Amino acid sequence: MKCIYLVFILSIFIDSNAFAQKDSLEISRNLIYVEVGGAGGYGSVNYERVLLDQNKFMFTARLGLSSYHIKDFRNDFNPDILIPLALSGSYGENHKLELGIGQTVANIVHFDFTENKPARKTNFHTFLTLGYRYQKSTGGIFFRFAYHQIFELNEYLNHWAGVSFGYSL
Amino acid sequence: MKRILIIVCLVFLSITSCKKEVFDIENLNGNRITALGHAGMGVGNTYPMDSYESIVKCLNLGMDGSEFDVQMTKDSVLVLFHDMNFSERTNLKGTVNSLNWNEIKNAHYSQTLYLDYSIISMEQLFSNVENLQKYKFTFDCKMDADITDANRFYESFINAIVKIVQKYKIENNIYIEAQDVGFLTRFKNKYTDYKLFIYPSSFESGLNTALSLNLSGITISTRDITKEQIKIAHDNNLWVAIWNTHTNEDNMDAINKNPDFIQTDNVRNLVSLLK
Repeated sequence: MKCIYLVFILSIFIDSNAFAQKDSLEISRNLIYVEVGGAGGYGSVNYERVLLDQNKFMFTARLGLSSYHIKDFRNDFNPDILIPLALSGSYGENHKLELGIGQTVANIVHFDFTENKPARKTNFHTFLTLGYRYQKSTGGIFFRFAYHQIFELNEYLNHWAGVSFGYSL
Repeated sequence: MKRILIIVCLVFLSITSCKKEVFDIENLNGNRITALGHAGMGVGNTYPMDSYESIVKCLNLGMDGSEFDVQMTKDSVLVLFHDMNFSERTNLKGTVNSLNWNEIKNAHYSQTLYLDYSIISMEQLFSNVENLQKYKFTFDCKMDADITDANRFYESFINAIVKIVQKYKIENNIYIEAQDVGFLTRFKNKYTDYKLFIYPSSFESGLNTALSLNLSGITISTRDITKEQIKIAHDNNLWVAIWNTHTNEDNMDAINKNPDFIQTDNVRNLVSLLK
C-alpha cells in the first residue's frame, strides 16, 4: 500500500501536465525552497510543483531532501536520508491558507544487533500540515510557516513546526 | 603582482601562526587528561545519550572513551539508560528496574523525530566495540530503583558489573561512579582493586566521603569545583573527573583546572583541544 502511495506521488511529478491548466502559461509552476524544521526533521531542501492554480485555489506536490547525519557513527560517509513528500491545497490570492498531507520516508543508518553490523532502516511517517504561505502565481519570493502533525512510524503524534523560504519560477 | 604576493604571504603567516593551544597540565593522570564523552556524544546530540550509536561515534571521533549511565533490570541485566523513567524519551513506560530485559530490548528512543535508536544493554555495547581494550569507560551507576532490600540490590548490581568486566577483561579500563554511598561502600569492601568515584552534591562532602571510604576519586560538575579544590583533591591522592562542559569556553576552563578526566558534552571540541 505504501509503495502504491509512493508511486502515485512520484507519478505526479513525472506527469504533472495531467493536472495543468492549458490556459495558464504565465503561472510559475516550479518552486524551490529551504524549510527550517518541518516535515524533513531539522530542515530540508525542497522542490514543489504547482499542479493547479485557478480561482485562488492552488494545488501543489512537494519532494524534499534532508538528513540528520552525513557521516555515520563509524565516521564513514553514509548519510541518513529523509524524503518529505506531500500534496497541498491552498486558498488565497498571494497570502494563502494551506492544508497538506504527506509522508516522510526516513532511511536511517543504525547498528543492527541481530546482524552485528551497521544497517539502514526505512520507515514511513505521515504528516498533516496547516500553514500560511506567501506565493505569487507569477513567481518570485516564497515564504511559509506551518504547523505539522507528524505521526512518527504512523503511530506516535508529534507536534512540529516549520518555516520556509524560497523562490518560485 | 607585488601586492598580491604580500597578501598571500600575510594570509599564509596568519594561518601558520594559529598555533594549537598548549596546556600545561598537572594531575595524577600522568599530566594528561583522559577525554571522555558524556554518555557518548553528550546532552542534546541527535544520537540519544547512552545509545550504541552515540558512544561509538564518540570513540570514532578520537576520544579516550566514554562515560555512560548504568541501571539494572528486574532480571539483573545492566542497561545503559539515563532517566529514572522510560516514558520521557522512549516508547516504553516504567523504570528499568521494574522490567525484564526481554521487555526492554525491542524498545527505542523517541526523543528526536524519525530517529529510533535502540536502548542497549552493556553486553550489547561491549560485544560490539572494536578494539575495546583501547578505551576507558566510566559507569555512572544509577540507584534510582524503588528497592525494598538495598543490600541485596547492591549485591546483584555489583556482581553484574564484575561479571561483565571480567568477561571482557577490562578491569583496568573502567571507573565506577555513583551518588549512593551505600553502594560504593559495599563495592569497595568486596573489590578493593576497582576504581570507585563518589558523585557528590558538593566538593566538601565528596572529599570527606572519598577519604573516609578510601575511594579513587570524585566526579563533579565543573560548576561546583575550582582549580584550587582540584589541587586539594590531588594532594589527598584523589583523582577528579569533571562534567557539564558544553562549549569551547567550558572545555578550556575545565582543562585549565587540571582534572584527570573530562566528561564532555562537546566531543568534537574537546578532541580538537586535547588531541
